[in-house]
Amino acid sequence: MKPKENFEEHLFKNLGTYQSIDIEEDWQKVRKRMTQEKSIRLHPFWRTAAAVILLLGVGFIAQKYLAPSPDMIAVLSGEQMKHVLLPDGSMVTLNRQAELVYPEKFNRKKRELKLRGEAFFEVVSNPSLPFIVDVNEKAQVKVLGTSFNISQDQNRESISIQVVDGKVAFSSLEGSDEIILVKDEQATLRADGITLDDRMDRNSMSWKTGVLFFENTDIEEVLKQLQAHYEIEIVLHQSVPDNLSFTSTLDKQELESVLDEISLVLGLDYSYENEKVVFTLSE
Amino acid sequence: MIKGLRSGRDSAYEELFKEFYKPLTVFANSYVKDLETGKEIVQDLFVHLYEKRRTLVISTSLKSYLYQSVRNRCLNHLKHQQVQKMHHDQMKPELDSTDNLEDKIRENELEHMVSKVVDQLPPRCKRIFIMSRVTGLSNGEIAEQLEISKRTVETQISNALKVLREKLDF
Repeated sequence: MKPKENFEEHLFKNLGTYQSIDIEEDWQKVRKRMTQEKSIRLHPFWRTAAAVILLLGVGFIAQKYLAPSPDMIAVLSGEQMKHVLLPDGSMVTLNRQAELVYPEKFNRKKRELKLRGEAFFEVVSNPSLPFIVDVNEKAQVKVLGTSFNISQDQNRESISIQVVDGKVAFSSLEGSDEIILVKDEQATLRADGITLDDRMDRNSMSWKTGVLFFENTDIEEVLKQLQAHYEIEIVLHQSVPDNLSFTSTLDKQELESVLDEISLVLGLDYSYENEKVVFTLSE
Repeated sequence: MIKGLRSGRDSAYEELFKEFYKPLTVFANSYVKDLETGKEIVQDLFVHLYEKRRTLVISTSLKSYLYQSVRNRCLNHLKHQQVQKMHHDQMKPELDSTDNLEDKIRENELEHMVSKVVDQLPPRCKRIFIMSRVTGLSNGEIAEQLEISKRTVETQISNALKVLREKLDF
């Protein structure tokens, strides 16, 4: 304790600071950030399951389940893209609003994960340890070491796989469809099964790569992709003919420079109106 | 409490946060000299703690761990800032001064207690006390502003100090 004569001097130095901190407000901030990444423990369930089986006297099964089962980790990306480093060193990039569930430690036979939403995978090669992703409890993707992208349509009715590198087995969990994909191939699972797509939609990975490809693409389609990528509404004024097409590779470009480029190439002008971009025919 | 944290009980977090947030923020502020930065550093630590709760190994007491982590984060922050030479010159004496963590923690806790006791004072008494010790107004100035007698101001301040002495056992 300080000597008495220092009582005031020492103790009131930071009183103003203490009084100015709003602990409730700041707690809400932290709580919000905490819920962005929430982990779920699944193993108490397995422990119970194992105990029940033991009571039934099926010793050998109990033994199997009593082996320490790993904690499951669930990562929700929420409003932001999120990088997840898996226990084996593989990297998953979750697009927004995606959820990945994986064990804290992979077992010795396979690497199993569950995904809801979209993600880009860079898998560390290990031929003896297959890497298996269940997507929306509908499809299964099995790989040995590669990079690939899992994408979905807006209504989450179809699931597509784009393979950037390596070899991937893509199968439906309901049907018996299975298709093997290699580099630069894409397949899509719809209600009627899996089909190999004619060409890979490279732009479905733009959220991860930042790169958009256009090759004689209809202006309407270009704008649709830009809207999704830059999250801003872009419209054509009626003065603009709708048969225009655009070719370019946009590599991590700012919106402004993209708009400038389109204007220059197609002879248009653009302006902002009510937080929308409007293209008009250049005078 | 550590057990509560590890099991992921959210209320354990809230308790922990509410117990340590203010003193840690003031502690951080004493290094970074900016309250908002101090708040951010402490908030980051709490989020980090939450994310790492399963694997976290705390070998010392939770309290020393928290203070130590805040200090490390503050020093890192200052190191980053030192890229600017001007800051460098300003910060250097601060970094070099050997600070005894234990002493600092004790001092901080005491200040926190003072603030908590002040919070419990009757509203008028609290207001007068803050005007006097935080804003730094003279008793005459306070009397004038609140349109009360100087005598009342003096009484309220001595009451506040009396309560503080009692509660803090001086």
